[in-house]
Amino acid sequence: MVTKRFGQYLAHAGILATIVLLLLPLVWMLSTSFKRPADLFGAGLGLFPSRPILTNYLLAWTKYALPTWFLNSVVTAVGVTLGQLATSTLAAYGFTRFVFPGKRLCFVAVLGAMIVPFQVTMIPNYILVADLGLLNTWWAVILPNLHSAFGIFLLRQYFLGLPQELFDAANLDGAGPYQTFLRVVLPMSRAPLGALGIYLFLGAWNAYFWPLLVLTEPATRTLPIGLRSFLDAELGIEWGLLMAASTLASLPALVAFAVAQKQLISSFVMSGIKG
Amino acid sequence: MRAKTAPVARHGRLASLIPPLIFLGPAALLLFVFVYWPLGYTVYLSLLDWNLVSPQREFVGWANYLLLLREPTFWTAVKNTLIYLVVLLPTELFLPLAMALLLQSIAAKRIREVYQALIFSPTVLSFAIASIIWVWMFNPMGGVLSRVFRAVGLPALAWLSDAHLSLWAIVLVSAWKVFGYNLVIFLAALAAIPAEYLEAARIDGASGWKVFRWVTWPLLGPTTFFVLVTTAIFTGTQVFIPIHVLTQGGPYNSSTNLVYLIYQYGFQFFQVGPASAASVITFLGFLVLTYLQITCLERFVHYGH
Repeated sequence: MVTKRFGQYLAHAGILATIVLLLLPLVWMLSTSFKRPADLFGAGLGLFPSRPILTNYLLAWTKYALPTWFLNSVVTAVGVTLGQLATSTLAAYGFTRFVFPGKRLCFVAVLGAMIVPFQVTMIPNYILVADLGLLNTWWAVILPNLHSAFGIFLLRQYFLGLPQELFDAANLDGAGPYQTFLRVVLPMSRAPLGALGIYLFLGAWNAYFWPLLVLTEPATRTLPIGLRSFLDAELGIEWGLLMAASTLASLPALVAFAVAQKQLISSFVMSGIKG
Repeated sequence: MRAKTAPVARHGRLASLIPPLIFLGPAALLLFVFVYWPLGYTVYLSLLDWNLVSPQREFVGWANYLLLLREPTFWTAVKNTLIYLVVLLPTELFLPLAMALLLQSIAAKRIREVYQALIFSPTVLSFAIASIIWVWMFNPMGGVLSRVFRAVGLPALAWLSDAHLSLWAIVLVSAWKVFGYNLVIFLAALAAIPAEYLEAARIDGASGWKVFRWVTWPLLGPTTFFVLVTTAIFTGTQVFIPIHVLTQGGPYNSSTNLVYLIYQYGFQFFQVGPASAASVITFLGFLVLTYLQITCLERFVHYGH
């Protein structure tokens, strides 16, 4: 019994040590965001600001184009998320409810799209978006990202698990494929759609590579691209401001996580268990 | 199922194709325009000499591939991509698994959930913003790492400007980022193992390690496979972000990888041909890797379900 309790203490200690290491960057970001410029390079560990101030936040909001970047991030992330949800739900339903020639091939094509890294196709995509005259617009980010092979795959799994009686009943009631989809399937799928939605939103909110290529004008940048541009100021990066801005930019994701922690983790796990 | 009961008359068959077309059409069109067509177009571009903007494009055949094969930076990028894989795959397999087992041994459910949430929280941060924080953490003057090193009497290291360290700085940031994700996957898989299996093994007198080796580990097979595949994809594609933010592939290309090389050729040097050739090579490498993982692991993995 004694060894068992000792083992528990040891497990707690090991886990807590890991947590401290994992959260150190977050603590460091928060701590720096409250520091005065004079205190940035002091002695000691500096884990907590000795004379905390709030001005970094005010300055970050007004001096950087933070509100504009925020808006760009929100619009593109919401647009991408809604678009991916819509096309994925439709396609997943199509795969589960219809028999048509070439269905297997279509599904293989969806699976195949998951192993084509975006980096391999980005140059033609860039040329296409540039030819359409969409560079430095919200559409440049949204349009090439309206599909999600992963979303199709995940929702198809869910729809396949819905009881057949449900569809038989809808059939008896004289509901066609469209009514069945709108009145029966969609209302029953709130939970997986919500989980997938959070997952897709986080991905879009945190997108970096593609926006980096197509959003080059300062005013069109999203938050990650905008904040990155401040590292190029070789002479004297204002770390207090930059960390305050980073905190503000991370808040939506952290709040979403705090509010919908269980759904979020389960949406990550769903992919893992069934994959 | 609807189409099966539809009338088989010719116009009826055509009509029965309309609903699936309406549901699958948008996704199919998007996947074609933004994934499959660009994939083919990349192969075509890899045979051209073109600077992305000029109307002049010259067909040069294999020249871009030969140019890459003779370019030392290309081989550095290949080597680094492999180092990132070889280091990150086992790290991100065994450390999260060990932590998941440790978490599972915690008796208090509520505390366990708090631990899990805390460990997972860094993964929701944007990888780019996380990388910016790490630039400041690595700062030799004020960064927290150099402060810790000095506190224990070690010299502060110039992580990002030392060609021997830059790659390891990228490894550290990447390992940190993906840890919590793999952990929750393993936790869920562990929770799905029926308690009777473990109990039966213990009743037969198996020790803790033996239970893990002969019961838990084989049952985790599909999950291990999944984690390896996703971590490999992450390493291949996402490590670009810390490279771009922290080191720009440097110093002296010491931390570059294939994806960063594609980015440089395409969007800094505007040499579309070599960039596309590197894309094709990367994709082929990706396919080989996926194939190897599937065939190798299928042999060792026990598909319990």
